[in-house]
Amino acid sequence: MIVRRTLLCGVLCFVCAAPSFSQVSTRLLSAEPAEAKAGEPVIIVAEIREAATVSSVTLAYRPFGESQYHLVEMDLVGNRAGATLPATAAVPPFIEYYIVIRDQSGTLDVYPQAEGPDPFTNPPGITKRILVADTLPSESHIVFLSPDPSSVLLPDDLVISLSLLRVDSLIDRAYTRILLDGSEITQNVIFSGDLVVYVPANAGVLLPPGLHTVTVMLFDRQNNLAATGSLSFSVLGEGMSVSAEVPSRPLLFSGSANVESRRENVSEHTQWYNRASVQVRGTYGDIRTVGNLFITSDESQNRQPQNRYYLSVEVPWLSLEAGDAYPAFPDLILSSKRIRGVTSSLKLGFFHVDATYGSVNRAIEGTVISTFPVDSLSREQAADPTASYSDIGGGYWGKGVPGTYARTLFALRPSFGSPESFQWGFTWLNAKDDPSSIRFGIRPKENIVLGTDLIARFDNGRVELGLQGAFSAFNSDISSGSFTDAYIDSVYPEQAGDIRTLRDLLGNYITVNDNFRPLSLDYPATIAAEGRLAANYFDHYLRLTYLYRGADYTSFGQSYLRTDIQGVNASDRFRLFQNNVFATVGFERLSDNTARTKPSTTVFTTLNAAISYYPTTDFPGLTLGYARYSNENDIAPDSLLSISDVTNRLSLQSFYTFEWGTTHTLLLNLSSSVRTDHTKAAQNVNNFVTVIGLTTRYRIPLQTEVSIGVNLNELPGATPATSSRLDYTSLNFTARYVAVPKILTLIGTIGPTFGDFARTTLDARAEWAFLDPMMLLFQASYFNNRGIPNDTFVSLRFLYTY
Amino acid sequence: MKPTRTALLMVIPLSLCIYGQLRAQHDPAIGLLSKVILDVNRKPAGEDWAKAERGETLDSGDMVSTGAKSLAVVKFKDNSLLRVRERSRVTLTGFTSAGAFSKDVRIGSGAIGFSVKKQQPNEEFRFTSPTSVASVRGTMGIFAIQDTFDILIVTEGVVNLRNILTDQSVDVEAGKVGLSYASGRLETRPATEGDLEEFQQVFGRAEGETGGKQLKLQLRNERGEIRELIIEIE
Repeated sequence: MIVRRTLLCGVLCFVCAAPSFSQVSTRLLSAEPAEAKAGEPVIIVAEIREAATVSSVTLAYRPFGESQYHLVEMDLVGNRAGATLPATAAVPPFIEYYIVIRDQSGTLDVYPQAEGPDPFTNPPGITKRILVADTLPSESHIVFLSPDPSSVLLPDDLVISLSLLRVDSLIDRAYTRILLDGSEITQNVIFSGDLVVYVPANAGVLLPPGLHTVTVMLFDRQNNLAATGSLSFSVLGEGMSVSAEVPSRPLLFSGSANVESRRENVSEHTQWYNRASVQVRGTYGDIRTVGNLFITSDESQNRQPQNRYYLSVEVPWLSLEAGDAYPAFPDLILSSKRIRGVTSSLKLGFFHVDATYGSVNRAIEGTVISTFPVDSLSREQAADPTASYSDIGGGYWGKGVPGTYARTLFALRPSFGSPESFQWGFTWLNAKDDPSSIRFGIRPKENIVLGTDLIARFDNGRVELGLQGAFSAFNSDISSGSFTDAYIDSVYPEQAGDIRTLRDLLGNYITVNDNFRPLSLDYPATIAAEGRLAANYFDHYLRLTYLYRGADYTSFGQSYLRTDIQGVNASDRFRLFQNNVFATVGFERLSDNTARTKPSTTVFTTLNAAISYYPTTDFPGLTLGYARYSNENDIAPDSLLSISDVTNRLSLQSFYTFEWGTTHTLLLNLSSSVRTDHTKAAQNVNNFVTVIGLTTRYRIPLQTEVSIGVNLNELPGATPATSSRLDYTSLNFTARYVAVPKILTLIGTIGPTFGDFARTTLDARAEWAFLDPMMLLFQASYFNNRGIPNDTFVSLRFLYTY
Repeated sequence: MKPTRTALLMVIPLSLCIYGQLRAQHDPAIGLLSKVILDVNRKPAGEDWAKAERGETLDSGDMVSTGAKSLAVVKFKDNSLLRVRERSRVTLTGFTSAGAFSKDVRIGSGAIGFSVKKQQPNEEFRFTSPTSVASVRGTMGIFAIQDTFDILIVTEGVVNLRNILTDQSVDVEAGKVGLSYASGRLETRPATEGDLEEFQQVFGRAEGETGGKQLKLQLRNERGEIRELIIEIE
């Protein structure tokens, strides 16, 4: 029998983070989260240094069972870059990802490190992983044993008891919280196996007459709230008073304000950042509003917007958003795109309309390199056709590095039905560069997309059918405008009629000229389609997907969609042994060359299997996974165009929470990846990573994390069939000490790395709640680098929450 | 992939599984005493009898006895309920295997009212006496032992009653009474009004704990409106 002490409440205050598994990066300081829930969107946040020099941050992620990485541009706000993965990506047991930071000089920094120069075509052999936990099954519930719901009893008869017998194995009972009338009573509750018992009289508590409510909060292994249950009862007594107040709906609001000053010294260059943000949330009856404002000193006309502002107002039938929003449309057309403008969603019962309009790119003027008389223009253009040229007046022209055109985007999606049962939607998107927005630019573009989507759910959602299709038209250079009749007659005399008809038909929506695609409707090169069928029966979650994306399919609302691919993906996720074991098997076969324009078709085949064990006892949980990725075309291996490689990956992840003097969590991560390239290039890659970490929560308010990671990498050499090694070992020691409860917390980290890559990281943080609800957060980091100058970061942040 | 790495990746989880199976044997509390009236005693396995307290948890193997005009209400952790009537003695055992919680109530003397929740697959709820075994799957009723026979009154669902001497069994349906004799005879008959009155005395109006009385309160809210609050009381 375990009687919980105050310690456990204290433990809840700690962040039960896994030890930081150090994987070397020169630009990226951290990336979170380490865990996610199946079937829910995942927000990935990366902390980046020297943010003022960053041009873009790209997240490449791969759900379990898929061979290809999806690319998403992360939104950079201050020194944090964020992206939201769709719920469909959260497939147990894990999501793989890596992050590519491109600075303004075009240099790429990849985290974890990639073996090749282009991480988009040659992803790193070892990637970061987010563990994805299964969501709780519907039968998971708290059983209240006593008192009976809504019962009335004398104070001396009161026994509050409940059973956790039927709760899911993913629940970590050590984190269970019990509240009585909103007050924490966990420390006085008796936990005995599955039973939870609280006798107020035994705890010296005499409940006053009236209505009372006991609330149970269950948490998963990541300390995320997973389930709640409550029970109300009444206590009789003399002068009984039972409230009969009619609940009112007052104005409720909350928010926070944040001011930060940050100094970065990197490679002997010092940069100050000053930032402030305010978030406000409010409700009044059915009206909800959210406001965000972020201002930073690194806002510049030479970069895309770094400041952010946002305001939304929502009632049950309408939501309106203004500022920087990320509207959700069918993901073939518009997804994870920041739009500065207006976004709305109207819900009139059966009929819904979603719309968005705004700027996706701010105009950034190109840089003038030289000026010359107009009569030299032809010679200059012939000498450097990639540069931009503009008339600067006075008979002179300028040559410049091309800038970025202002681009606006409009999308509209009327739909019918409800996404919970049946919904059919139609989407229109158009986006266009403004050629007049800058003087030095090249190839302004234009794009329209028309799509439809359908979702149907049957048998209480156990069967789900999702279909999407989209047709795009794209013009890669609209600077010359649409065809004139004279041009059509002179260049296309035999097809003049058809082209004129096409121009007249589409000319109101998109510029039609030589740069317009599709050139022909004979082959669906600008079409994308996807069908998904999922069934959830008998503890099996079966999913079947077919996708087709033509080689020329383009949507400015979905910048990173991989095109020229088609094929199927099938997976089955099932539960065994009373939900203690989860297994996944999957198969995927994709191929390119959808337009039959390439000399050969490459087939990408993936086989994978994983098994996870989530014990109900105090036994270690573990996940064992295997995947085989095969890429093959039918070109002879001695040709440079040949593709023939196989990658085998085996991984083991395990965690174990145990008591030994105090509470410890042991994490083990083993991963092996072997890529064998059968072509003449022999770009073989061999990675092996071992990480062991131990998190200890002491009886005093101290938590420590110790981890060691060994990375062994055999990488392709500079010439074919040669290799080089990159081996290093990273250690991490972190301590978090609550010096004064609820007031002062101190955190320190030492992270030395040895081997082919060597540096030592020192990090110190303090969180001081000097006057509730105000807090100061201080952070100082020092990177002792080998062979290059050392780096330092100092940050002071003021936080006010209300 | 090098053989040593593969072996390492395979051996570690296997070892952990074996270790886990060795540790996954213990079975802690199976229920609690949610109500104790007058003379109720409890005897944990291997210990002496002691006065029982309301809210005490019961471990597998614990015994509970009641004196004259006494009552104990036991709630199992699957929310099944026992009312141990006066002058009764029971031994409670339970074990969990792969998430299924099975219970056995051995009746040494007296009578027990039961309200058993619907059992999950692979779960079992049994009453045993020197004469009979009753297998219950989501029913209400009374099981009592007399000098020469056991009597089972079923008011909801079906209970399988088996005579240990002859190993014969019979399904006792709702509204019927099963009789299992020490001589080996096994019979059923329709429940009489006396049987049902007996049941009512044990359980009252509602399932287990709630009585049939209502308390009506007239309350005035801040707008001066009169609202009637009706609450059930024991």
